[in-house]
Amino acid sequence: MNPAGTEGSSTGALVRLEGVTKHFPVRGGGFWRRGSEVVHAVDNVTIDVMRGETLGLVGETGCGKSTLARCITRLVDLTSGTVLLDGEDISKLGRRRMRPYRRRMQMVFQDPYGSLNPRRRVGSIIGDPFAIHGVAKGEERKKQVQHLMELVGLNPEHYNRFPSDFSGGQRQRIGVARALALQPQLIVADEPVSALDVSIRAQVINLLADVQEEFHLTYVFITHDLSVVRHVSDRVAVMYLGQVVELAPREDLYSRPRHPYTKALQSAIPLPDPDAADKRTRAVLGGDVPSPIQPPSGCRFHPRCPKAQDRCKIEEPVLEVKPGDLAGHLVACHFPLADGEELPSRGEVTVITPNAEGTPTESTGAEATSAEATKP
Amino acid sequence: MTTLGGLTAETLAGPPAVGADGVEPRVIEGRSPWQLAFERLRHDRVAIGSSVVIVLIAAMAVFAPLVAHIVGHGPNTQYRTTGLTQAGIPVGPSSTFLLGTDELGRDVLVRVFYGAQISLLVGVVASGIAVAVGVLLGMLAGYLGRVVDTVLARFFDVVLAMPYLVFAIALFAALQDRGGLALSIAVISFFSFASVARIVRGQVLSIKEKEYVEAARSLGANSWRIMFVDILPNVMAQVIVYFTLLVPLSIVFEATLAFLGIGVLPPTADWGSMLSESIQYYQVAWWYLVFPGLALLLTTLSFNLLGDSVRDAFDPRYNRVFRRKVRG
Repeated sequence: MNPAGTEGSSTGALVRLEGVTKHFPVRGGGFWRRGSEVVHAVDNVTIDVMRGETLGLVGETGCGKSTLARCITRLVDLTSGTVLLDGEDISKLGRRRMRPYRRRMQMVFQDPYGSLNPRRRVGSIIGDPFAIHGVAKGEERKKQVQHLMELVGLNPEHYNRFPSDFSGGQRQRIGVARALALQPQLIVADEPVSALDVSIRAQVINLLADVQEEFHLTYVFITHDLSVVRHVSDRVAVMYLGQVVELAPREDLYSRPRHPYTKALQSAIPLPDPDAADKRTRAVLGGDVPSPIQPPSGCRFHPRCPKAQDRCKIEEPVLEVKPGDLAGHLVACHFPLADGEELPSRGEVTVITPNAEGTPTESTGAEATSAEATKP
Repeated sequence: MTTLGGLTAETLAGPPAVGADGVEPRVIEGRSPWQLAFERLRHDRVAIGSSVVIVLIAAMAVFAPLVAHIVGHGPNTQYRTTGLTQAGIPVGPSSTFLLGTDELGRDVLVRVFYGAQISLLVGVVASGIAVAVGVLLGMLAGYLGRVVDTVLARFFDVVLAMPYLVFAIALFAALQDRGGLALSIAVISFFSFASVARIVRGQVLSIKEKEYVEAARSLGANSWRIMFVDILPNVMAQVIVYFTLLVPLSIVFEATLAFLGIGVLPPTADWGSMLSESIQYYQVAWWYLVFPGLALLLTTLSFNLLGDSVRDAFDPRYNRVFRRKVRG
């Protein structure tokens, strides 16, 4: 798990996103106005994913991280922009011409219950990649599937069971085995542990780390849990309303956040020590996430940003390296924070809750804490 | 697998064990939802009872020629001397004619047996065709969406809105006597497939949004594979249930057509046409009306009860059978 740019021949970008944009037409805008409005799910995202690294993608629910994942794996068609896999543009390929590239990138999904077909046996689910790409047949396929099951820590004798016979963590292992089957270069993991029990999260994260080492995989790891992303990532990209606002090596991002939004997110990470939690100053964000149908002008964060000035309303900041920062630390902000600078508090008293960056159904509070506590 | 009847039932009835992430040995080795449903059916008395009746009726159809041979009466042979009174009225049940005769002196028993052939054939074949066509079109409409869906869904609506009896009568009138069994089956399937297609379409619409369908697409599966390998097994339970409920409907539909004098051509023995003719004689020959009617009633009732049981068996929330069974 080396940060980008420190290894010899295997360095360079595996995936390069250039101006990736995905807009979804809004349905039900009235009979006559149909299609006139769009949700700006992902807007003009340009990032590289380096070979062998884990790129963490964090942001609130609805900030477009899952859509970005589906743009990379071409499960949705891009509105504009390009996706380069190993230098080849895959953003405009049709379904049939896309097939050979699908072998090289796989997804691990969020919901271990929804991502496995309940009516099919585990052996045939994991064998699916072989069947679809006509790789191995009959006994050979069974052998390979059982090998994969062993690899991810499942009992190969459970080959003929159904997904309902397994627990959440075991199901996620099945999902990982399926993703590994064709020996891909890239795995896009869309919140792979969010739906899991706290006690299981560390196991699955460690499994992902183990197979990354063994097969030299590149990960795009999506999560809303900052503790998890800190544990697994080499670099972290922070998304807000469909755009990347900050991209930096992990430690740099955590120790020297430049974007006010990143700072606010970090101060929302629950701390295991209640005394420390009491002492720290919590950055409080006013207001709600604006509608992605009509994103704010200029910097999209400006209506909620305590440092916002008039310039922020007009001019859209560019994701770039600021003077004095590391070469790999990019931020899209006109007035980035200095080292150790706290966010000025604003008049509004909307307290950002620990799980504000999570979905309402998950209490990220306690879980995030334990996930960090179970670090190996 | 070392489980036996009672133990299996209890283990199945319990909630799925949510254990630690480790390997947890379980008694049941990967049972498919089909096996589970079958297991539930095996313990359902109504299902057993109706299945037995259906098997008996199927046996009637199969052994109709044998019965005809044993009693020595052909299905279409008219026994004008022995089978009719001197006034030309059908004779009642006797040792010669166990269930009496009809207005032409034919043996009602033998004709009821032969009638089972037509009913079951039409019921099963017409329902089978309807389900096959319905699944295919419903799948295409639901999965492909857009224009395909708009066109097909409207087509289903049109078919369901048609006054099917009027249409059938007009069709048979236009074709005069060239109808016959095949045309009956075609008409029945045509008016039955749309409801299957609608159900399948609705199911597919919700299933295609599931993550496992997305997973299949991300693996590079094509639409056919997704439709028939990933989605179809998830709608099959409903389809099977609908099939068992469609069989009695088709049988009644066929009987209705025959009752109206269209469809199966005379002198073929058919429950519907027997009923149709018998109503003129019921005051003097009750047996002529009662026995074909009873056969029709028993058949449709059994299929309907079986259909209900199959539906319950596939519905995991419905545990009636086991609550009764788990008594130690």
